Amino acid sequence: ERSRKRTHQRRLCCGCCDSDCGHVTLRRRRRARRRRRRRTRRRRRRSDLACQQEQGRKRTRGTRMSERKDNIIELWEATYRMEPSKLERFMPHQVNAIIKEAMQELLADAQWDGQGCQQLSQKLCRVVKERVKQLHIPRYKLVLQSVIGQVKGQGAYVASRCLWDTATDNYASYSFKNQSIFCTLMVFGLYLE
Amino acid sequence: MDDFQQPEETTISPEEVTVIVKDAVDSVVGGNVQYDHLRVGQWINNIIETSMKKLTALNKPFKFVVTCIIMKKTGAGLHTASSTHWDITADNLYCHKEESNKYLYCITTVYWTAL
Repeated sequence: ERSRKRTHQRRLCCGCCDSDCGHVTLRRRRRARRRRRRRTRRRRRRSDLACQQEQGRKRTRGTRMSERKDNIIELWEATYRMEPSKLERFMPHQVNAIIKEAMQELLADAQWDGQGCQQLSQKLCRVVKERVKQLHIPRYKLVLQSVIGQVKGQGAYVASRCLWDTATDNYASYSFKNQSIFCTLMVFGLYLE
Repeated sequence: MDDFQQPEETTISPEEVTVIVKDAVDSVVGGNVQYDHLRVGQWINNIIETSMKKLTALNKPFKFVVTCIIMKKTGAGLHTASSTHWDITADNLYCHKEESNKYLYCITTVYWTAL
């Protein structure tokens, strides 16, 4: 076998000349280069697989595991998704329940107070926003607006109008009233394409 | 070949929205109009419709949410608060308070989010 190998090596390279022209070394170098490329490709495939298993997504070209340092720039593969899946949408009934619960917790015994109600309206917004974020609806932007007013027998009208994609975007709202204050909270969920 | 959008085409400045909302509100409840519970629904409709039309006429790739609150002035207090979860570089809001009318409060808020 060794002798066979040698004869292979000694064979003519391209048929350009009749004798042993020394192009043999070129062939050996090419073969070695091919072997090296195969090795790196195998290594890359293994690390891609490891990355996919770890993080659940494919890594795009150009980001090696070994090259990642503190400033990580994550390149995400395109999902080719045109709209959210049926389970990952803004569900008004879920968000309504959240708002109702939060209002009953924070406003059940509340009395009108100029400074206090300012903090209360901001707190209500913050609390409801955190709870809606915990629903983990991906790629949705949230806009919340709360209105707290004193009850003195006056009339008030709160309305909203939106320009959005009706298939993906929605809103939820709830109104609460007790002896001294009335409150309305509106949550709008806007899909980010 | 260069198809990159200029920043003016992909952002909305609050100044543009100020002008639009101010015009819409002044045309409906400006000039000391008294609070009328039967007509307030229509006023709000008009304010919001006018603002929406002018915002869409800007022709920019944004989604809009316009809210309007009208309340009679009786000495009662009113607070509005807002909280958002969005991209602060692309999205913004503008809140307009009508102060010239002495019979009612009118607070109009416009939120715009990038597509």
